[in-house]
Amino acid sequence: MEEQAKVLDTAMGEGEMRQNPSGKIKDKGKLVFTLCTVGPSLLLFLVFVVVPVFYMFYTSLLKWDSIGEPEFQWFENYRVLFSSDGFKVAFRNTLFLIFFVTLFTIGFALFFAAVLSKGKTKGKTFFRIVFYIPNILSIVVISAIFTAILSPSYGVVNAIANLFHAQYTGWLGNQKTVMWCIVAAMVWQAVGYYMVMYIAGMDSVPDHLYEAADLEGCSRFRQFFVITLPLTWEVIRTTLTFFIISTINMSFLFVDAMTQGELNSHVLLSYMYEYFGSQYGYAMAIGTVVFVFAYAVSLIVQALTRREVVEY
Amino acid sequence: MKKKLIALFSAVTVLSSTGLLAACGDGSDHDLTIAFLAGGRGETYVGALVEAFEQTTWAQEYLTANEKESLDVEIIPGGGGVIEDSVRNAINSDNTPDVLFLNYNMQNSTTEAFVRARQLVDLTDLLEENVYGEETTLGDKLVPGLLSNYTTQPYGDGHTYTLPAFYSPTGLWYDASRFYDDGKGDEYTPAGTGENAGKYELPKTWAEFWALGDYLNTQNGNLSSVTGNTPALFTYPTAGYFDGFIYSAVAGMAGTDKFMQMLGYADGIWEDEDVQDALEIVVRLKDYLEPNTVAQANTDGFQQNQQAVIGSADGTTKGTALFVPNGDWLPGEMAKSTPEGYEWGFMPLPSKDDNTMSYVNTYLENVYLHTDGSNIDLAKQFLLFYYSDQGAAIVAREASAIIPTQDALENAKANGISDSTIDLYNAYDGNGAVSGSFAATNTVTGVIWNDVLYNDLNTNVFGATTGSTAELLAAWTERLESASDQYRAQIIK
Repeated sequence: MEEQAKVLDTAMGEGEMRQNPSGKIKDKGKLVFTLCTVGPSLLLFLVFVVVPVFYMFYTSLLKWDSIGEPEFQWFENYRVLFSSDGFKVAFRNTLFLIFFVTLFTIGFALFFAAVLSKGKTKGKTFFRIVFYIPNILSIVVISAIFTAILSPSYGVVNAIANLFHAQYTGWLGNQKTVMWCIVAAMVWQAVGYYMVMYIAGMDSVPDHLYEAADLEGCSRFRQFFVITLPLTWEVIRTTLTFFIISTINMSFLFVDAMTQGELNSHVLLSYMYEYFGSQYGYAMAIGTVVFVFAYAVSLIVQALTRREVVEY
Repeated sequence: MKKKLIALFSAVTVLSSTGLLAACGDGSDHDLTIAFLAGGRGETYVGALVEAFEQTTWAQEYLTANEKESLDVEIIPGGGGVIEDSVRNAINSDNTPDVLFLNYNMQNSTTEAFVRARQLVDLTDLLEENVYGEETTLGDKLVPGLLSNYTTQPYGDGHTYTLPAFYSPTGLWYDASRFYDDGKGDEYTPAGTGENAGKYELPKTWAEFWALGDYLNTQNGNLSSVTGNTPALFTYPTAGYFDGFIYSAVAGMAGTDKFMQMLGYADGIWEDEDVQDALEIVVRLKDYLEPNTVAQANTDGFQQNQQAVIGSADGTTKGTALFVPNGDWLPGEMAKSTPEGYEWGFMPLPSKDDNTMSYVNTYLENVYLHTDGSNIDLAKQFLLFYYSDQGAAIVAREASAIIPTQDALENAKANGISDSTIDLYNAYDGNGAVSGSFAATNTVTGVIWNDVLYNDLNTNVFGATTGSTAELLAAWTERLESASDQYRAQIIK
């Protein structure tokens, strides 16, 4: 917000600024102008972002079913939360998804992007479209597709199992496989989107680097690691942070649509939603933890992936 | 000029955003607001009731007194996942419904929240008033035995706050063509012979039930090749359907005294030997479960589990499970995928032994009035109309449901309720009846009682990957005792 104001400031009145080296805004008109332009969005930001976040912190200290009188109880919700088995399971599942979904999505997306950007693969455009299609489907549709594929009554997996006279009772009904099913659905949904981003990054890498590498006898495989990856690192880094936040959010939709948290498949946000109606304060304590957790994870990822930007 | 335009634009933005916020507090000026759960009972019955109520002399007197031409009634319908949010939204916008057809044990425990906040109108006096157009008081009109429980008297103080809007027996459903009834007395044979060849004998006691299960398990290779010809004994739609199952089982194995203690979160009740027998029945079902059940026991798949008792929709193959616990809405819910000529069978849970009664769990749906309603007197009159013969007829016609009044069954028969539905109520003949709802409590942070008691069974018992029956039972008992202790401390007195 502040930056925006500064930019506007310099753009509008550079001449006057030079006359006032102290930097103080003396022109009243300019002040009014700045307030008028920044004011509305600042107000909306305050009302719809800052206030709700603080309200969440506050309500997380209440015992409240959202109908009766709220009762202030300090950190009781957090005490219960951190000793709750359900919360531990949900937290573990969220970490599991963040790790594996990110790993597979970024891995596949990079692989397909590398194949489809510089390579001379036939039908490149066709494959780009095919990989991107899952991204325009709604999560509910994708969940329905996966639920149907995995259904032990009428699913494709069941039909294949029958072919081999094997008994299939549904991977969504098995604690050992249920989270992997959610990983599969989430990866399938996201690969196309990140692939397109990486293709854009990779297309901007100059061809002569690859030509030189070819002449030196460098394999395609090695070229990917010494040229493509370092030169697209900033794109990958940004998408990684993006991706971790969106995994926390999206996992709620997938779990809600595919399993409703059955068989220990709750993630943090679906666990929160369980308590949303009947124990609002407790749900908001979970919300606060998710907020802090998401923030911390993205900071950590930013710090871990910091590299010198390669110029070319 | 430009600056002025920008200033104007920002002013408009600010005003409209604050205006949006201000618009949230819109008061109600309806004569009545009625919210109802539009699930298995259809969506039309409240509208039809209101239309008929408007013609009553009571409503006409109200209209004359208020110089109005017609009743302005807002009806808020909504399915299971929606209605609770709609009600909360209505309350937040100062349009609190006067009359609510809502149940206990719903997702967000809205009814329980009203009880905790003491926002239900005390209806004890209303029981002394005559229902519309008749010389019978509401108390006398209602089926006896339905008012002295924690559902209708949540504080256990003899004051009635909710009334049973519909009642129906819950129990086990099966494909009638697969069973024969041998009557009582002689030895139980799972597979019929002679004219009953290819059929199973209907189990009356738990011993017979397990004998049938063992027989089926030898046929289906311990559940490794369950088909229409070699079915499994049991399936359930979702674990939530174990509520009535557990109530019936506890009453049947431990008697009604312990059942009532259970509803009051009595200390140590879950460790009681007889109650343990009832819980063991539930855990033991794991060994007889249709193998697809666990994977489908969610909102997407529960109908597949129900279908497992019906078989294929075209009637070519029989179901892969014999019994499913459910209520009277099941045939209607599954009508589209039920083959023609399919006949549903219904029975209460098996009994402890030949000399003990079975207990039928009565599923009570509730109606109550909210203290913040704008027109409580008119709402009370609406209730008195609801329980009149006229009201019962409308409910039978529009909702295919039975109001728990003395002659509602006869009334329903005359209004198009099928004989098979009426037959369900025969389940009460010769059997005990229980109806369950636990004592009203304040919330226990981080614990949801219904999850501990039945919703989590899918995960912790039937979907558990390790643990013997005894270990699973012990772990469940421990969770119940711990949660029960916390809830007992929060009982509203």
